[in-house]
Amino acid sequence: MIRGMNAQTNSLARLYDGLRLVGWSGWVGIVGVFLITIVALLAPWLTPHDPYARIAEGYLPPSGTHWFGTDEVGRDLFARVLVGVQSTWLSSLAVIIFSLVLGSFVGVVSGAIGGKVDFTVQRIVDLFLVLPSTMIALAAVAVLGPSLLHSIIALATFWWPWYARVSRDEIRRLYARPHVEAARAAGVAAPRLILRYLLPGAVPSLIIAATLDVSNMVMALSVMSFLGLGQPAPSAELGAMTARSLDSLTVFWWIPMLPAVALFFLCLFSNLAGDGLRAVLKGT
Amino acid sequence: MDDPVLTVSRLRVVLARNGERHRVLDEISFAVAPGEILAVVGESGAGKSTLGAAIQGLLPSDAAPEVSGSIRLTGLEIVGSPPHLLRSARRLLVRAVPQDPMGALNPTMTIRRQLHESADCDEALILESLRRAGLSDERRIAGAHPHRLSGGERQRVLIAMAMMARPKLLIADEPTTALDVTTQAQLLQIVRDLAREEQTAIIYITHDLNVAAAVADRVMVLFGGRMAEIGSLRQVARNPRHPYSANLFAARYDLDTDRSRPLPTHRAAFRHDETSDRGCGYFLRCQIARSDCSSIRPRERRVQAHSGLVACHRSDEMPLAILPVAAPRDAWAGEEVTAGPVALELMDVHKRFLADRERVWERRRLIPALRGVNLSIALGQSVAVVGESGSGKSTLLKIAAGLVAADSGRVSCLDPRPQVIFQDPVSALTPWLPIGEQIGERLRPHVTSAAERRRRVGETLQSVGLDPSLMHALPSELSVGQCQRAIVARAVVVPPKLLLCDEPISAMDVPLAAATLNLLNDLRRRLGLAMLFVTHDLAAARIIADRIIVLNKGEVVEEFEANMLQSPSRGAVTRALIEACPSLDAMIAG
Amino acid sequence: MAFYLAKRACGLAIVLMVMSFIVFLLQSVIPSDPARAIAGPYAPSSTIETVRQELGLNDPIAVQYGQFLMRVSAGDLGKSVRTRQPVSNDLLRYLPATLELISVATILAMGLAFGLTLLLLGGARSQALRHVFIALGSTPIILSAVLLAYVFWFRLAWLPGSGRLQFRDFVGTTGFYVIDGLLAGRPEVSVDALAHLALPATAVALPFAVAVVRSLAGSLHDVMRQPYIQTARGKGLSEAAVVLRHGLRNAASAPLAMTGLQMRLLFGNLLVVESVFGWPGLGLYMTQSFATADLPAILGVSIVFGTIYVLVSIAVELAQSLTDPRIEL
Repeated sequence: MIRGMNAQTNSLARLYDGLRLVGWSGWVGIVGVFLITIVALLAPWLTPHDPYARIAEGYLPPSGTHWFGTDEVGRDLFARVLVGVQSTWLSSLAVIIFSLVLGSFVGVVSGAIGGKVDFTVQRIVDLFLVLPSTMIALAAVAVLGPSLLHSIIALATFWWPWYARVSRDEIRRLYARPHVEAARAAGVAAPRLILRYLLPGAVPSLIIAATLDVSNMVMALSVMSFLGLGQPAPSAELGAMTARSLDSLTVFWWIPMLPAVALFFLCLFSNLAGDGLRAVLKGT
Repeated sequence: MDDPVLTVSRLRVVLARNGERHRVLDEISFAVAPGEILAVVGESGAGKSTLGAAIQGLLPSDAAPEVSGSIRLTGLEIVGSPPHLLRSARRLLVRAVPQDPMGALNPTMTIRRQLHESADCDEALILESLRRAGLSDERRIAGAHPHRLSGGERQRVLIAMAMMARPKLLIADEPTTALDVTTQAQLLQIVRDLAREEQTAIIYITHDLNVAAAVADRVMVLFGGRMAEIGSLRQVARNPRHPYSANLFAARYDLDTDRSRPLPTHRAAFRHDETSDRGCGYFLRCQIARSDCSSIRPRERRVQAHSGLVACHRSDEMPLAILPVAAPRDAWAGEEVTAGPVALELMDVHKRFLADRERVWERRRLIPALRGVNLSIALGQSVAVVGESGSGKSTLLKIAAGLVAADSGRVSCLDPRPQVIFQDPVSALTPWLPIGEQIGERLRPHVTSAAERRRRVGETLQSVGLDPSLMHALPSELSVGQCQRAIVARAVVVPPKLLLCDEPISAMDVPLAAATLNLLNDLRRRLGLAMLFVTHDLAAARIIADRIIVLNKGEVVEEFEANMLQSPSRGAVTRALIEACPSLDAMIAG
Repeated sequence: MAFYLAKRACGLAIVLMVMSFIVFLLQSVIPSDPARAIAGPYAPSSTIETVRQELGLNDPIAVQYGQFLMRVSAGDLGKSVRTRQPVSNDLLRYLPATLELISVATILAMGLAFGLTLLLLGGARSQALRHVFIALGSTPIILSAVLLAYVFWFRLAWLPGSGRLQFRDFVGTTGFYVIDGLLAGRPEVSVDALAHLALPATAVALPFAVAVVRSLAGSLHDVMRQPYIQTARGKGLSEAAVVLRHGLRNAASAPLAMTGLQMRLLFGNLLVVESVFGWPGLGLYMTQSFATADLPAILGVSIVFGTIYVLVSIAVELAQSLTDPRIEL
């Protein structure tokens, strides 16, 4: 339909436009992220076999009973990948959500207060950001002793400052906008100003940043696990499974490859979802 | 007449915006002769800028433009031409001076290189064209990056850039909107000289009729993407035959307008609605519409009143006098207040800002913005502060509003929370909150019941000429004029003692500006507010204010009654501002 | 400029201090005992005590840290628990391999980024290309390293995928085998070194180049909607000139910042690649030190990587100020 220049667009039409802007790849990503999360939550009930028990001979190729075959000691690879997806995905989400909440809280409050508080907080954030954080996290976990929990804590410690920076910059940007100036001149109280006038403007950027960041976290966690800094054997973690079965790569290539492929899909779906969300929320 | 440089016939442009296709230009036909200046006027969204882009063949590709009709530029057809032909047309025939001088220059390239790209030329020509555009220190300018230049300097650079290519046609898209009146006057002179000396045809897009009068020979009035009227500017201004242009020209004001009564304009801002495909685009707003106006589209035709064309069924029959009298034209009631309790008083206020550093090791210099300003406004009185950009008038307003603290001096304000009306009404509203909630914000401390707040918001909306049902609308669903009224409603929902206005009309077209001035004038008289009105527009200042203060370089150079603006005793700064003001009426009379 | 460099040097010192302090602090609060790790699980407590004394593990943490700083400033990083060698010797031994890998990977990443940018400019509006970039950006280093090794080494046998050189007898002077081969007049050594570099360097370079080009694409997308691009088009410039002269330089800032961000992830990637391809560099050294909680070694490598990281950040900032005159150092 061709409309006149000044035609109104109501909110329903905008919602429809938004849904369309996500694009098919965005929908693949969003649906994929939901499915992965559900599968991860239900993993203990979905595994066809005990992921830690020897249930067959080793090195069985993929088949109807063992979808991904069996590993070196005869454990069901599909069950192990499923458990690995669970631990990697849920811990990535946990770190990202923790960083998002803590980081935006610090950033929003610091940005909204401004002045000396903002300056001090931002110098602390600066310090975190100039540190080679992955490096320190690796070293810290190595010193603390390898475990998934230590990896999560170490990464979370170095991950939130980035969100503090992003949200703070968004808040300062909004703060300088006339509509916030107008709200301040109208005497809106600080908590209400933050919640109703500043935060809704910063949320889209933060959601996009966090969604796209999930894949970074998946990669960081899997690297840690690969380097032997995750849960010790016999636990099933995607990175460690590849690392421990690298020797089988020449002949039984699927044993180290399949966990890595699972990682790829975790990253791909979250990136596609982030890309689709960006198309809607930023209109590009 | 010579062969026209540009002939546009039956031009239609359809652009996609947010996934919907809009007809932005609809059957536009006109021609421009060498050395002629055609002003294109109309409200925002009328398609003025799209017209410029279409002639350059530069419609935004992500808007998936569909163009039909014909644009002939010295015999070359633009519509449907392959890209390389369009490129050489842009290189040799048509250039544009864009609206926003701040964004239009590449920030990472020196001016010299950007000019060098514009036409294959040597250093001498670059310096020469900068000089001709009125830049006296051309060597510094040529070597600088854009962020080192002021807005006026950048706009002159852009004019130099366009001129040095010696185009046959120049499209100037609101080139002076962002500039001071004195800079504007100089640039208008440059544009006029360009048309006369080089025989360049110029399309001058503007929302300001006085500016159009200062440069143009002919005028084209656009409404909703259609041409309403075209003709010699003098004839159309004297005798507009389309109801929209009649409204437009009637609402104009300048330094001689009667300031004792409201400006002649519509009473209410209209809701923008779908323009109907079949009938007249102006049907929904027209006061003299007939039944056939909604079904039969008026074709452009000759009229007896002037030599141009008008697209209105009733162009020949209507008696012009009945047109612009929608508003009551009684004089403002009440005496002008001269003495009363003081609402705002500034005594010897100083303010300095840190300058940007030129070199890392330099100490940042302090730039004085205000140097010992004294000002006092009585309750019920309206004071306008005028001055060039950089005179400190915005700083003054921010100090009065309490948004910025003064370095020294005393600021006393009767109202602990004076209200501010900002320049751009759309960006002063939070996009994700319904306007009712934003207006009700100021009622919160006083009125706890939500139902009572809604009632008061509704009343206030009505008093500023908006439908109370709009309180549930988001800002994006309102027109610019409606946004401006919503902002005024927010300011007066709890009547403040002091209302501060920061250039509220500088980007508006004439009828909207006039309506806003009327609204503010009405409210401050009705509610007995003190008002501080900051502007660079002397004509608006004279209409809205009882007293005018002229700021220059942070100091008050003159203060006088608004009626005495044209008195021969005015100082040099004020006289320069007065002389720089273009006036349509003077042009018609002269 | 001098002021800027001085400021940055201070920043480097602070980063190194903070890094070493964090690791030190952690080590003091954890139950694990490097002395037991060295002496073995069945050693009598007297032996462990001797080792503890030897390593200075009984002193208070502040004293240990102070002593450590003194020793480091004198060039002594302590003794590796695992190799029983001075850490500085170990670092010097493994550093050239890592530097060689990083340098070749950087060059490769630039080439890849350039190629991908050309691809991007050629098919700027293609959705498929965007999805390819997303998929490339979603490939974890573990998958790409394992895939590269499997396909090009095991399956096709085009390239070697383990170690630095097949000539066991070759001893270089600089430790950079590509250069050493040329210096020693044995070009076949250089060629072989390059062949060994190809797969690990590609694995390191690929995510880097993809991330940079993706951010360039996003940034270019925004820049091409700026009014000055319209001005440039209005001059009648060809679209190529508009993109190259006006678009790219203004869009360069974001990918440069992205380079800095990617550097954080790079170290993790480097460790993975070195252990997949058996590359005897600092990364592999560090990974092996993880298993034994070899604190001096971990600290030593961290300091080297921290220094590299800060130096690269400085280089990125300098590059940013070169591309954008508005950024002042």
